[in-house]
Amino acid sequence: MNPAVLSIKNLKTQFHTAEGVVRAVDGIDLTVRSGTVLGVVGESGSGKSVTALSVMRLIPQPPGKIISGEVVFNGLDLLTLKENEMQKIRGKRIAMIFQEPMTSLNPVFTIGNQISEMLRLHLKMSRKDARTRTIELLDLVGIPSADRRVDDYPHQLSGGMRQRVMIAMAISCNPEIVLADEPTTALDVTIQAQILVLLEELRKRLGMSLVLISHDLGVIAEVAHDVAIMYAGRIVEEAGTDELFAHPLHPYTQGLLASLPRFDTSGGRRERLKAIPGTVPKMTENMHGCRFTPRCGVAIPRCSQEEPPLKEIRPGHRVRCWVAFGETS
Amino acid sequence: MMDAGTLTRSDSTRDESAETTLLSVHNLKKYFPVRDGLFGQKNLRVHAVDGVSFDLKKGEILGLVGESGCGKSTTGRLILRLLKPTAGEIRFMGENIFKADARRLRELRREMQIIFQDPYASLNPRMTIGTTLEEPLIIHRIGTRKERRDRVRQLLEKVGLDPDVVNRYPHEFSGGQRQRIGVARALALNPKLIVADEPVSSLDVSIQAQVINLLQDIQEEYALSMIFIAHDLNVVRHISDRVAVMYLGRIVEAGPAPDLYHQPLHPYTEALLAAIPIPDPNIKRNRILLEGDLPSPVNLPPGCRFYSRCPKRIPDCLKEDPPLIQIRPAHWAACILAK
Repeated sequence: MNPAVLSIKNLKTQFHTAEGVVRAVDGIDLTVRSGTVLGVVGESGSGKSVTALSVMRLIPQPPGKIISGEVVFNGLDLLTLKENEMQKIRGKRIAMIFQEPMTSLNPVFTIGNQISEMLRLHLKMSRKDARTRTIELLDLVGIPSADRRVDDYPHQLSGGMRQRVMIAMAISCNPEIVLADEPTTALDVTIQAQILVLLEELRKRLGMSLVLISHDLGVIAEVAHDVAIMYAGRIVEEAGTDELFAHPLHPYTQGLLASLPRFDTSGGRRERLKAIPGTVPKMTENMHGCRFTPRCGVAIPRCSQEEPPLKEIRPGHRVRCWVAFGETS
Repeated sequence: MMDAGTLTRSDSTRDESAETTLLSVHNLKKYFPVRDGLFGQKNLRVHAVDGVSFDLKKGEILGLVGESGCGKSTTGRLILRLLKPTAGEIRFMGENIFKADARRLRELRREMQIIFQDPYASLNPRMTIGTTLEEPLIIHRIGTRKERRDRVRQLLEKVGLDPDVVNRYPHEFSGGQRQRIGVARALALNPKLIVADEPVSSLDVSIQAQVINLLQDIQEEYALSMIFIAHDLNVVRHISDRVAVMYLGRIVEAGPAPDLYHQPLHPYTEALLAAIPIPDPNIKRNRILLEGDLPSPVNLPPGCRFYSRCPKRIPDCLKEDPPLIQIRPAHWAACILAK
């Protein structure tokens, strides 16, 4: 078992909105092991992106606030750092890749400028060295004729190429961890395949850890070593990837897997998908018991009264479900 | 009287031969002019749809797949005459829709409806759900006020919503519920054809399955014909009878869904299928990584459009843009290597 490089303990992040307090992340624990990929799965509003932004201390405040918890990175609790100390870690030792590269790149600067800026700021490189290194990085992420492309503006590149630039920027300072939030969701499937292969190659080569946030269980199955499933601000299940896909224990995880149409096993048109009924709960509601109860097909009375703990019930496999614990009505 | 008001048209259409062609698209082209440089040389054109032909049978679901910029959405919009083609013909029950005058077009529009991708952008935020659904009935002068109101409630029930939501506004609904409203609106006039343009791609995984099931149910109940446009090959495999794969404005392969997915003929289809991540870590597959990006649809490469990215290319591929040829029964491909 590789040692932990990042451990999140009891993290709670909330947003104050007109409709009330949104408990986006409501007490989660996560561990990223060195040199591995942790997949975080969840649908919109599950809290997966807010988790990453909390680690980076990029929660807009107000309306957001990290209420409690610890984010321990190599023995250092990031939540206790001053902003100027955090700046030395953010982008340098922990980097982030966002879903939509066009909104995270500055349209008025060349891509070379934007990567060089990181190198000069964090690694104190000279202008000339930074440019040379930038070209190397662009080359490394597979941008053809990098020595010319370095002077392009973001709009001159395709979506896939922009995401490569974002990756070059993320790895520019040799970070220990990269947090990738839906890095391939905006891309076409053939380009997604290219980017996933690139991320995997770079991760191995540079010995980084990767947190891959995705709604796509297929992407997670291909890339992650460990998986955490989030629902309504909570982790409901976590395990090694092989174990999780072979023995999903939480009714939500089981439901997600069963609801996916799959080209390789599909019986085609006459087959009905096993949809999960209902919708995700409003996060402003006061929730009693397990948050999945209203949509759950196997719920027992206890589920709506008392929230189950996250408990290990198979080796290395933890789940938050009374029914999975063997309780019956 | 409410001539289109009953929800049981399927009984009458079911008797007809399933082989009847509802829609026939022939050599459809749509070029968009682009301005290049400061003074806009207008002779540059984006070849969005560049010679597309296919038939759609009554009660059939045709999946139209391809990556962004392949022309699949433009094709859908041309079929509904939301765009005028540069060339080509579309026949709906034998009638050339581009020859229809304004009055005839209005009649035709009753028969063809669209479901859009983004349920947030396609519903008027200032209209109640009741008004949104009643509007097409008013425009087409169908029924009395009371009959229309009843019809709206019936439609809401049909798509799995509480009929009492008629006085609510779109923002009060979740994405999945809004897409149900979009489906109800498409059904309001009892159309024969629905073009569904990425109808589930903005929905969460758990909601996607609900909407797919709904689309399947209404298709069966009303014996609708459907063109299902999507980039998600898993969804398309599930819902379609036949699938057409588009690349740079052309159909490069078309065939019955099971056949096309199990024995793809075109290297592009093979690469697409190989790129789909499968939610099962035990399945190890051969990755076919395509080189580079889509070429520009303005300056089309000579020969086969897929040449620049094709893992199987040979020099002969540059000689001509291969036509779509029937290789196996009902299974067509545009590749000189396909056999």
